[in-house]
Amino acid sequence: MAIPLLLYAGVSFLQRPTAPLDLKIARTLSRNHALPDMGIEVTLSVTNQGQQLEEIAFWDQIPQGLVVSGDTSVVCSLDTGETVTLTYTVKGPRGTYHFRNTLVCIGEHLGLVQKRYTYDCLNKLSIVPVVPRMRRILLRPLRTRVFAGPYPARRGGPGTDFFGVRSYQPGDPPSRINWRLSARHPHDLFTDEFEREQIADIGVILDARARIDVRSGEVALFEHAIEAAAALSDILLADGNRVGLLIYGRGLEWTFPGYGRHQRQRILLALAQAQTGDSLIFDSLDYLPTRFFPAKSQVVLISPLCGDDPPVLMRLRARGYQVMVVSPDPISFEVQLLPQSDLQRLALRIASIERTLIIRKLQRVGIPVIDWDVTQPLDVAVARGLPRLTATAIYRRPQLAL
Amino acid sequence: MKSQPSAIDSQSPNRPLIHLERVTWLATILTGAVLAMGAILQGLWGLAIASGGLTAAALIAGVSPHTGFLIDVFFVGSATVLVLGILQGVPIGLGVCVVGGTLAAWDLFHFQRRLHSAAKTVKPSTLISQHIFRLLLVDAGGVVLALVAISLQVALDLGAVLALIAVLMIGIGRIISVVRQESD
Repeated sequence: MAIPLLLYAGVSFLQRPTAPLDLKIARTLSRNHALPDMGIEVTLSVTNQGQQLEEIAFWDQIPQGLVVSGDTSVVCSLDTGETVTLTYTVKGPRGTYHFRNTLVCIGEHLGLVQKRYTYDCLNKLSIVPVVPRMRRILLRPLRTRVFAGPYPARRGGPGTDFFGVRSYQPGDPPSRINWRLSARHPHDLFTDEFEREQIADIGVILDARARIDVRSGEVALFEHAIEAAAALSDILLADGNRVGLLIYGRGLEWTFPGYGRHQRQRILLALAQAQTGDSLIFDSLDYLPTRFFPAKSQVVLISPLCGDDPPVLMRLRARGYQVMVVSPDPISFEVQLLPQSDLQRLALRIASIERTLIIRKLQRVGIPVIDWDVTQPLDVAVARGLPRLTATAIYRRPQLAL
Repeated sequence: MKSQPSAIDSQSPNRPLIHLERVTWLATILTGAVLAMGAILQGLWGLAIASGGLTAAALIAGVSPHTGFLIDVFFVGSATVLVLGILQGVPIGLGVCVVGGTLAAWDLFHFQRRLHSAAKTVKPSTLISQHIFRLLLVDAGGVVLALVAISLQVALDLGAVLALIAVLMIGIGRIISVVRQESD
């Protein structure tokens, strides 16, 4: 009576795959950088370069957080040289995702003997934050770089705004001679000077300390701060400035200053993997590494702010940095989800007073603070908090051309 | 002549899987029914009810990632019922058929599970037909040999039996290899 069983087991054993598995597995993504909730097509192709495989199953491992539509696993039989392709689409929120392994299971046709393998197949997908549209903003950095740009350099030279008058020097164009002043000094000539407009060094600091982040449901205030960092970096780079990014929280994640589209991409990739975190050292802004930024450069801090931040920022200002703060309002963000009650209203008033005091303290020492209610667009808050560069606002494209 | 895609494939990619499910159910029900019938003929109503219960449990459990253990329980339970039945007078030839049927049902359940574990099956009709063909070859061969062994009533020592089984295994393995090469 055991003959059928023994025969079944024996045939399975004899037919088991013995030759080494020789598969070529390649995964391609339709794009390596994408915007949130944009579909990215993933193609996994498996080619059998060894002996025929009667039954093979493979499962592609999807990084956590991505939403998949389509099939990520397949069962088939593969002849020598045959290729099976699996195509599916993923999308997800901002972040960096690593595709690592593909699991492969092979067996003989009766399925009694099976072997499992894990193939390394690395791909990286960065979902960068959306860059909101913004108008150009006027900053007044104390020191500018030599190249022509949008910011008044506090020095005479080619420009459009009147800066001062100096003695005539040979070579000055006659149209620049200030005839009215020269008429009062019969033996001298004077020339008008205009203010140079140059680019600046700008450091964007994103505050990623977990203790000052506020979560409301699945949305975190930090996500708004990231959007602000992306928008400001984008507009400042578009003006030709040299921009660096420092993410301060879990540690120091530093994107070295640079110019142009390449730098914008580097900053967006850094923002894609930015996360809040706790660190004993970086719990306060005391250890903000000012040496990352050139002396007297413009520093833009994006932070909800807390009670022990103003002294640090005042010290930064005293060292000669031109500091500007963009502060997403944690109170208006959090209050939306709280139940309305007398106690809640009282708490709201106390928290608002405390925040107003922090902001006033900073404004008193000449640090402009943009108090940003995140239910409003950042552009509106910046326009309210800072003067515009030009009367006619220049809108730029809403999103990155990836 | 150019080969046309089969009607099953052209209608729906899930049709072969549905057919496989029906074949599995059929094998399970037939096995349970044969065993129950044998038990009833011998007046063993308890064994008949146990056989029916196991079959019903296997069919109700169906195929899902969590029912692998249940299928194994069905297989072991059927074997136990069968052994009890043979001890109490169920014909041994019927028992061999039940073993073959149970083995086929168990194999098909597990094959279905393997197919369901992946989201997609490439060329399912080919995969399923090849599997069923090889299962039939092995299973039917085993049952026939067992029946022949019972009818011959030849006294063999254990070594000879093991040697015979080894020869049979190698023989069937070779047949399957030849069939596979031809199908390639």
